[in-house]
Amino acid sequence: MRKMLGAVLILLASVYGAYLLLLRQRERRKDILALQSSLLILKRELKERLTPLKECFELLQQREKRENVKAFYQQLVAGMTSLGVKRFSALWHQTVTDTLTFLGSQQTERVCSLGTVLEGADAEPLCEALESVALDLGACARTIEEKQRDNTRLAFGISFSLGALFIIMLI
Amino acid sequence: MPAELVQAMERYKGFLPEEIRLRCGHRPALFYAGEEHPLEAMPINEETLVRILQRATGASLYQASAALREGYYCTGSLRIGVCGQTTAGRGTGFAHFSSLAVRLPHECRGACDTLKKELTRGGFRNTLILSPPGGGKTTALRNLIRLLSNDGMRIGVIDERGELSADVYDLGRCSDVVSGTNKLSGALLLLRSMAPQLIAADEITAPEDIAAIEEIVGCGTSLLVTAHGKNLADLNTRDSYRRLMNRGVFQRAVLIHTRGNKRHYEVRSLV
Repeated sequence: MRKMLGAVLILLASVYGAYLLLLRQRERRKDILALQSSLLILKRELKERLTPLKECFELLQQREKRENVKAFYQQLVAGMTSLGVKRFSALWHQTVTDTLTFLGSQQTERVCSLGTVLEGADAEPLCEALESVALDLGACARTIEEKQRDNTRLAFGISFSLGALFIIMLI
Repeated sequence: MPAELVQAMERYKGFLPEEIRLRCGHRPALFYAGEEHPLEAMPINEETLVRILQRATGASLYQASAALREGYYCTGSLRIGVCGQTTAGRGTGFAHFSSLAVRLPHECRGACDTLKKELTRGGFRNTLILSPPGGGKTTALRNLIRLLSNDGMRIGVIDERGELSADVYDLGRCSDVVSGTNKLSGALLLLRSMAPQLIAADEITAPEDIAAIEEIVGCGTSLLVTAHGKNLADLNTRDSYRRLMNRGVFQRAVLIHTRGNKRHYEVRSLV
């Protein structure tokens, strides 16, 4: 009876492990989509109203529901007081690397590059760059979703098999 | 501002500096008592100028670019003059920044009390305040607006750059401010909507500004405006002003003389 219970627990744990892994990927995808959508709002604000960046960041910080993305805008708003001592591109770069840890290295690099672009004086290239990065993030989210769909059964299968193998070894 | 610059300026606080002058390759300087005084700080480079502009504009140069193309940007009560290598493209109109002049405002309450009495003796008449750039025209105009407005005169203020009516300044209880528009549109808006007894505006320089003055004259509203010029003879060298003077638009002129850190106001009748 004890062996049976142990075996069930091991199997459940391994399946739960696979579930957590998939959940993490799903959360990551949601964060990426939230960031993408916030960049598109930023673009719209710049294009239609020439809203100052600080006001944009405050707005995004207020409306954002995803904690990681909210933290990004919160840190940017707080960091705006250091302008003058620090350049905006440096502040942006630091905030991206500190808070947007869910991004892959390629996406991090793309989002970091926006810092220099946002320092520009012409709104049009700024909007183009924001749109381009948002498109990239959208593509990245789609890739994660496709991979997730393909890998769900595989992940559960492998973890179940590993659990079973472990039980056999123990018995 | 870079910490080093703020530190270097600390000890000059008591001198009431009027401007901070920042030029690439040179030490920063404070302008007070009619001359520039270099600070004990490292020479300025373009990176520092960009950081200061980013601070002033909240890193939103795209939003400030229209003003920067005109050569200045106003934030709060500060006015930052910009200079550098210009470009024909869009944006700020500058490919590189080489100098900044940060004008530090001072509200000198009480400085224009006597002047106000002189200007209102026998009723207020169209008045032109005259001094070279940085001579204290805007400060005098602001003080006069506040004093006249607190006396109950309805004053329409055309504040094109937002420099006169920044949050820190009190323009009196009877002042109505229109800002962010050119002088002609501002004047017409005030005349239509606020029935001012006096219209005040800073720096009548461009031909469009003169056109605005010509529009206001004869509307039953008095004028209080400022212009660049060392003396009345200076004005007569400018065609547009000569036209205004010949038409007898202004009945009084206030000439501002600076001696050391003090300003003296001389009222001249133009009638």
